[in-house]
Amino acid sequence: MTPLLELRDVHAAYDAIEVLHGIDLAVDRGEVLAVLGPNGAGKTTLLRVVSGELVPTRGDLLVGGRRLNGAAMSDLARAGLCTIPEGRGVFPNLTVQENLWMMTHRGLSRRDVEEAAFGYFPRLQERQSQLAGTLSGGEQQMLAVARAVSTRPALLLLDELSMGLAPIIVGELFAAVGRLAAEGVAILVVEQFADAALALADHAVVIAQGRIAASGTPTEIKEALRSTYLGADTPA
Amino acid sequence: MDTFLSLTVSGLATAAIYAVAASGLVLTYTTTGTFNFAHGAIGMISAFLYWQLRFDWGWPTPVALVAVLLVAGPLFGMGLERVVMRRLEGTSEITRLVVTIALLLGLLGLSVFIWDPGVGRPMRNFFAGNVVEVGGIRIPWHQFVALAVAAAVAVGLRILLYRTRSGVAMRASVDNRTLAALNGARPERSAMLAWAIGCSLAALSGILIAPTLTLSAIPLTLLIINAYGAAVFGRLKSLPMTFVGALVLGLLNDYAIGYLTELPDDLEPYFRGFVAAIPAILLFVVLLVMPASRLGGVTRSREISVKPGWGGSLGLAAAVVIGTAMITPLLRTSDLVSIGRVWGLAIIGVSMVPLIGLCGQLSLCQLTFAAWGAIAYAHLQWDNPLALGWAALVAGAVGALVALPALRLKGIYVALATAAFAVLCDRWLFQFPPFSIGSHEFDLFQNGTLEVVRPRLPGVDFSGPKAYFLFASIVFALALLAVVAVRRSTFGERLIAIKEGPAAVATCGIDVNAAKVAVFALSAAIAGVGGAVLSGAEPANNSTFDFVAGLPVLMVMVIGGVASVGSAIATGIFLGSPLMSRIFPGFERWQNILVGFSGVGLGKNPNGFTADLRRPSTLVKRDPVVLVGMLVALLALWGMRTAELFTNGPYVVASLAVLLAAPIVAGRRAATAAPVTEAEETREAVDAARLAGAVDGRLSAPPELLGLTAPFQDTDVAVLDEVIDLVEIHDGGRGDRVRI
Ligand SMILES: Nc1ncnc2c1ncn2[C@@H]1O[C@H](COP(=O)(O)OP(=O)(O)OP(=O)(O)O)[C@@H](O)[C@H]1O
Ligand SMILES: [Mg+2]
Repeated sequence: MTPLLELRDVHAAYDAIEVLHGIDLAVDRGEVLAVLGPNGAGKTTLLRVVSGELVPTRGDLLVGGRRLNGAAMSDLARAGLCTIPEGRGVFPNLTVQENLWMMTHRGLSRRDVEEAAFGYFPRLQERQSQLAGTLSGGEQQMLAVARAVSTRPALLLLDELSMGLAPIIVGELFAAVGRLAAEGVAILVVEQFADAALALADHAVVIAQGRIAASGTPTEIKEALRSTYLGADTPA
Repeated sequence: MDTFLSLTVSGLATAAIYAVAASGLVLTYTTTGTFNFAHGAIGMISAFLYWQLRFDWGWPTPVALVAVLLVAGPLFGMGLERVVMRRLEGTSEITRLVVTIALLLGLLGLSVFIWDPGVGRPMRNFFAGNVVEVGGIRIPWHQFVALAVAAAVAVGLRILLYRTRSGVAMRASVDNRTLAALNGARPERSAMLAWAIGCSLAALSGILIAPTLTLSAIPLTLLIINAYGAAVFGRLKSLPMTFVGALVLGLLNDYAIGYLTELPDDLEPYFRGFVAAIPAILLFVVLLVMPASRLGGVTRSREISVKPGWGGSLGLAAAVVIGTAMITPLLRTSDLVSIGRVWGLAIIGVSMVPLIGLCGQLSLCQLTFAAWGAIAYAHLQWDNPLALGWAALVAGAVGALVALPALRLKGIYVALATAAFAVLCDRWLFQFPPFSIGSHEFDLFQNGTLEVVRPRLPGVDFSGPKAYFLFASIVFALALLAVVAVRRSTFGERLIAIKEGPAAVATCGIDVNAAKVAVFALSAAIAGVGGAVLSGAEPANNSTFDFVAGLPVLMVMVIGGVASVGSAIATGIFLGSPLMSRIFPGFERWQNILVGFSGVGLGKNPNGFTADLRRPSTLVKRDPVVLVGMLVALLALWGMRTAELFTNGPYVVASLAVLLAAPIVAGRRAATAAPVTEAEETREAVDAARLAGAVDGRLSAPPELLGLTAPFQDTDVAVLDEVIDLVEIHDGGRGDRVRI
């Protein structure tokens, strides 16, 4: 069976500076893949390539077996690829309601989107007509994740969901992500804090300096990371 | 009381038109980040088109309206977005502004080209002749029409932006383009929609405002530009505040028209131009009270500034003076009349280099600085070349004064403030009748043209037309060298740093404000000298220096490369001499169109074409045989011309041909030349190959990996040397050429 998402020897660069030097990975339908790695390793860049923001300079991006190098971000989004970018993925000068309105691009009605979003995050309902920029960091991230829960994506890309948030909120967000995973949504999750991601994942890879440094089951990767942090050999 | 009421009603109608114009401007700016300076010109040309359809071809009013507002306007806007604006992605806000200024110029040229300005084109108001009486005041119907249209626009925009998904998507892509795309929105569609609506609103305001004056390109364009003041009132963001701004502007305008005529006779002349200057004044005031913009972070742009060497600059300055000395005897006095403006304009052009090119402050009032210089120079009536120093001093002081408000502003607001200053001077101050302060009489433009005395030194008299032309070239050469000196100094480096990262510069303990004032003063002083020289070459009046006259100068400088002194020569020759119209008859009609539309193509090459001339000139400089050959050929042609073997036309063409051929020959020779020394061999071959275009400036690996993943190639050295602009020097000891 062809995997849902496949990267083959993907290289990516900002201007003349190459950041990814040949990444191979695959995500099957319903699978959760955790991508770990130090700062500057190229994790965000990897997600940019998958979401269509950055065109690979070499190699192929395949979705459902089709080569999609250079496809427009908006087309990928309409086709069912949902990206929650690093930082706060909301429109600060739009109200919560208007933010939700923007999530109707997959053909859902405004009401369906609101129902799904408020079902997962009741707090947002109370703040419907507030500007998103005035929400707390946690609420903003909930609003961002609402796109994932309301658009029924085939593949969800998450970049550092937990950044700058309190553990309780992180727990709440990951609970929502867990429910999506249970419903069969394939997820590619990038995290600095390995535990939350590994708990969810079926498979994990470590990226270092633009290359896949290790790949395996969550337990194996956990072991490998531990030995790295304890100063043992780098994972092979 | 009746006067007051009817002025209020007519003021509201004026406000309504301004509101329509300004809201279109704000819509495109917020959605696309491009301030469309050509908004006024789009309105102007739409009004012409409407006149053509409705009055010349006699189409029914509704059909003509639909054709202009719902077909031509939106199509033009969408085309503009697709063909021009989309390619400007990633360029600085200033580059995009300059492109729209170019568009304004191009549209002005186009309208004059299509609709002969010599023909009167009356345009009637809607429902002309119909008047309603309300409470004793007679209100023409067309004023109601304006009010109704503005109300409809306000409601329509509100609904669009808050009640439709396309509108919300437009606002979303203002907030975060990438995120909008991740939500399946197509930001380029939002941009296209914004341009379409913006152009349609510009057209609407043009049609509404045109009947107040006879259809005429420049006044109509400027009239719509007045609305920019209203847009700035809303900080180019808020539509409601824009409407408030329009209200203030419209009411002030009509009250001023109504009440200023009642001023006592001795005061009235001083306020004659005041009404026309109100929008500019309001714009200035709004910019003054606006909260200061914070210093920007580092901006990466595709624009680079190459440091000129002394050798080349002295050579250029000498070439200017010697060339002029050689050519002048060949010219008839009648030729000098048409060519006299060359050096004055070139000096004004070179004044833009430090301010706009290096420091990135887009001043649209360089010609106004020139005017102040010319006025001071004429006022002094001193036949010593030092009188130019006085012109510089006065213009420099004006420049410093303008810099004060500009300090608080950045980007497009500097452009708007300087434009407002230019218009304020054109329409009001320069229209003053003679006045006296204390016992001293002032007469700015002497009710017409400036009377200037040409300079004279003991033994040298520059007052003849030929001698004056040479004198002007010397002044230009000095100005050029002064600017080169500034560029090479620490001050010059600071200016570039301010352009690229003002906040970073400030944290280095450099006083950004002092540097900005200094560069404004310096640039204005040079422009002032240019104005003085220009007014000595030909009778100068107010319109010699007006705002619109300044735009082609800026554009040619920008097209040539506003950071390089060489483009000043191009500016002078292109705009000040009949060269182009001799080669291409009928060129005047094409000039603005050509300049405008080449400026529109600027996004591709923001460094201007003189950057492309560096390679050819380096090639020639490196090859002594070709260099000498070129000079000999030029001299020979000159000799033959002096011997009257042919006339000026063939002479110019032949000389241009020699100048063009030299780099081509040098390129051929370099490509096939035998290497001089062993050590130089590879370097020479690489240079030659690169200059001949064989190596297209690509590194063999990303710079941080050069030498790590693959061996360091000679081409890499060459490319990197060029990128960081290393100077080549000769190592005296071994005679090898080395680079430092
Ligand atoms: N827009 C950009 N232009 C140039 N270089 C960039 C850009 N964005 C990222 N980089 C560089 O690419 C490399 C990888 O960055 P990336 O953001 O992918 O790392 P990351 O693994 O997501 O790091 P973090 O964990 O800190 O988010 C870094 O060296 C970074 O400096
Ligand atoms: Mg990242």
